[in-house]
Amino acid sequence: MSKETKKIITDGLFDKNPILVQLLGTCATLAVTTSVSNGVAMGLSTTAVLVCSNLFISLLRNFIPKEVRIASYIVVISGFVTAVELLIKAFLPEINKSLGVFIPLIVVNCIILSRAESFASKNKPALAVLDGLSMGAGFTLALVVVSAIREVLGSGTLMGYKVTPESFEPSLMFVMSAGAFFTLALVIAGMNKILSVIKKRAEKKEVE
Amino acid sequence: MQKLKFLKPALPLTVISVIIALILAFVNSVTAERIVLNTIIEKENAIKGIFPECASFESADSSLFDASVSDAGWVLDADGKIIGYYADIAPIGFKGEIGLIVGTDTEAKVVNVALLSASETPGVGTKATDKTNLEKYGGLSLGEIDGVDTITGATISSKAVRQGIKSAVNTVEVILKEGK
Repeated sequence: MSKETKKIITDGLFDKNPILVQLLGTCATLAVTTSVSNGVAMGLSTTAVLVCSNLFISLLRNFIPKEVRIASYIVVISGFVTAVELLIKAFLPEINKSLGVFIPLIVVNCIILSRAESFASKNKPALAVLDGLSMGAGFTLALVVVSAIREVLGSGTLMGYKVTPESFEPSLMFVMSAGAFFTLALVIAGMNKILSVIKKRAEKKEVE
Repeated sequence: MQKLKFLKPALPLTVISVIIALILAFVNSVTAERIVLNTIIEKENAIKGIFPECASFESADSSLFDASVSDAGWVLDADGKIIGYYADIAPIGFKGEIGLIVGTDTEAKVVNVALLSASETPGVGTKATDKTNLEKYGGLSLGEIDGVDTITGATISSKAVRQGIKSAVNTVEVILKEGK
């Protein structure tokens, strides 16, 4: 694996994780992370849109004029979001039930626009697809962590199955938006700690 | 030629829009039928869940419906006898529409209520749309529905459910009065 592809993968998952480091797409994160199944579905739908739009924009990067690039990106992104929405409605009606209202929101998820502007429009299609996959995976991973914490503490379930003992009274706060902010903040703090430990270790190695 | 320079950025944007529209047209042609089919299957399952003997159902004349009722009619068993009535409602809850199917017997008393779709707050608003709350309406007639208590913490959702069921039963009564 070349250094470049490796960097794209670690950037998306950790160093430039869209939610936990770049703090993009917070709106979608706070809204859908009430249950793990919602988090996974949202993460995968966003990844699908991200990969398609990155590929499309990268292919057309020399064709899209600078003056109308944002408009072009939005047309491409909203087109793919609508396609994903139709596909979910047709083939995954169960997911559509719980996530239906949030899918159109992917259009305004700034992760997708920011990857189009800062990566896909400057790189070759293969790299753009890889970037979409890695950013999407980072997004999904963060959603799963946040939604797992909120689902266990807020509803006492995980993926819909009861996991806490009877004596545990689920705390409503974690289902509400206040709990969403709280959990996200804790997860970001944890991520910062992990990243700083990794960085220190790398520095130590260099010194040695 | 200089005058036409303004067209330069517009042209690629038009081309992109056309390509995206073509992709969407293709996806739509693949999915449209299935989406309609899904909603029909969902409704059929809900009605069959309320009336296990249901063999088919027919819609009544839509001019009889309450404003919030999207569809209503009668349920037939295998012999073609009317065993009850149904109404499809979508009252506005705390977070958008709550899709419900209300089934009543031949005297417009609620048999049961089935949930089709809702996006109420999990753990809070969902208390109004879960089975325990919907079952409270079983056996009630139009005048008795107001006696069902709203749920603490889910006032808006449970009021929406109650109001929806009320207009559903009202519609069934109108259909009954019209003689079917």
